[in-house]
Amino acid sequence: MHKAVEIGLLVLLPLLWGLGVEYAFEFFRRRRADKPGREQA
Amino acid sequence: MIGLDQIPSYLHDWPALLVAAMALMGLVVGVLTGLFGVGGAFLITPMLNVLLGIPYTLAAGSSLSFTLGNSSGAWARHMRLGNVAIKTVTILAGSAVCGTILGADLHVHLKTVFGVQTFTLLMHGMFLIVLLTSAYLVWRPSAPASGLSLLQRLPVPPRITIRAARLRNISLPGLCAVGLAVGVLTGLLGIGGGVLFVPVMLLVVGLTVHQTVGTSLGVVLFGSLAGAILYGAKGEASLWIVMPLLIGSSVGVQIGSWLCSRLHAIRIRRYFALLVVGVAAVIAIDLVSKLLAD
Repeated sequence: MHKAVEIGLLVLLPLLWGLGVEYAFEFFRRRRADKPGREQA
Repeated sequence: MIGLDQIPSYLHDWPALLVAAMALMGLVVGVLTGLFGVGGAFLITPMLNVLLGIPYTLAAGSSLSFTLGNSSGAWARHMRLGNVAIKTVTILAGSAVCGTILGADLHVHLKTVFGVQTFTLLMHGMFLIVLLTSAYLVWRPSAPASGLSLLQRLPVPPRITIRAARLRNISLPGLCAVGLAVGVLTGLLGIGGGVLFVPVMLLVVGLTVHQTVGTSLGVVLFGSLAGAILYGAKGEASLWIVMPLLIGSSVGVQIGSWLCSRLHAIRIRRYFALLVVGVAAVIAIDLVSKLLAD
C-alpha cells in the first residue's frame, strides 16, 4: 500500500471514528432529552 | 497491513484473543480519558510491551494513533461543556508538535545506539520517572502562598491573558517551553502528553481541574497527530492494534466524561495520582524481572 495512504489511514480512521462516536452519542442524548417535551405538547 | 509482522506470533495464532485484549484495554483507557483528560497512551504504550510483548517502538506509534482517536471525541465533548481554554491549547499544541518531532528523532537515535534490549530497559526507567513525577505533582496541594501560578510569577516577557480561565500575566515563553518539553517526551516515549499536561496545567499554568481536563485533551490531540504521522512514516504503527483499542474506548470515554462532571476536583486529582502509581508499579515489576533475568 502506498506510504501516504497508510499514514492517512493511521490518522483519519481513528480521528473520524472518535468524532463519529462522540456525535452519535450526542445525537441519542439530545433525542432522549427532547422526548418528554414532545409528549407534553 | 502496517506493522503486522512485528506483532508476536502467539497473537497471530489467536487473532480473536488479540482483538479482545485490545478492546478491553481500550475500554479501561477510554474511561480514564473522559475522567482525567489524558489520551491514555501513557498506559497503552507500556502495557502493550509488558503484557503483550509488543516492541516498544510499534507500541509507541500505535498508541499515538489510538490517542488521536480517543482524545478527539472526548475533546469535542469537553468543548461543548466549556472546559477548554482555546488560547492555551493553541500555544501549547504548537510548541508540543515541535517537541514531538524532536522526541521521535531522539527515540530512533537511542534505539540505534543502545540496541533493542537495553533500549527497552531504558524506556521502562524513563516511564517510571515520568509517571512518579506526575503522580507526586498531582497529589500535593496546588495553591502557592501568593495565589499565583509558576508561569504568572516567571519574570520572562511577553505576557498574555487567558480570559477563559481568568488567568492574567502568563509568561508566553514559559508556556511555550512547557509545551516543547512535554512534546519531546511525547515523541520519545510514545505518550500523548496528558499525564504530564494535567499536573503542569494545574500547578504551572494555574487552570482549574475541569478546565485542565478539557484543555489537556486538546493539546494531546495535536501532539498525537504529529506523533502518529512520524511513527506511521517509519512503519511503526499498526491498525490491528489501533482499531480494537478504539472500539473498546468508545464506550469508556462516555462513562469517564459523565463521571468527571460528577466528581469533586480533589477526588479527581487523587484518583489520577493513584492510577499513575499503579501503572508505575507494573512497569517497575517488569523492569526488575528483566534485570534479574539478565
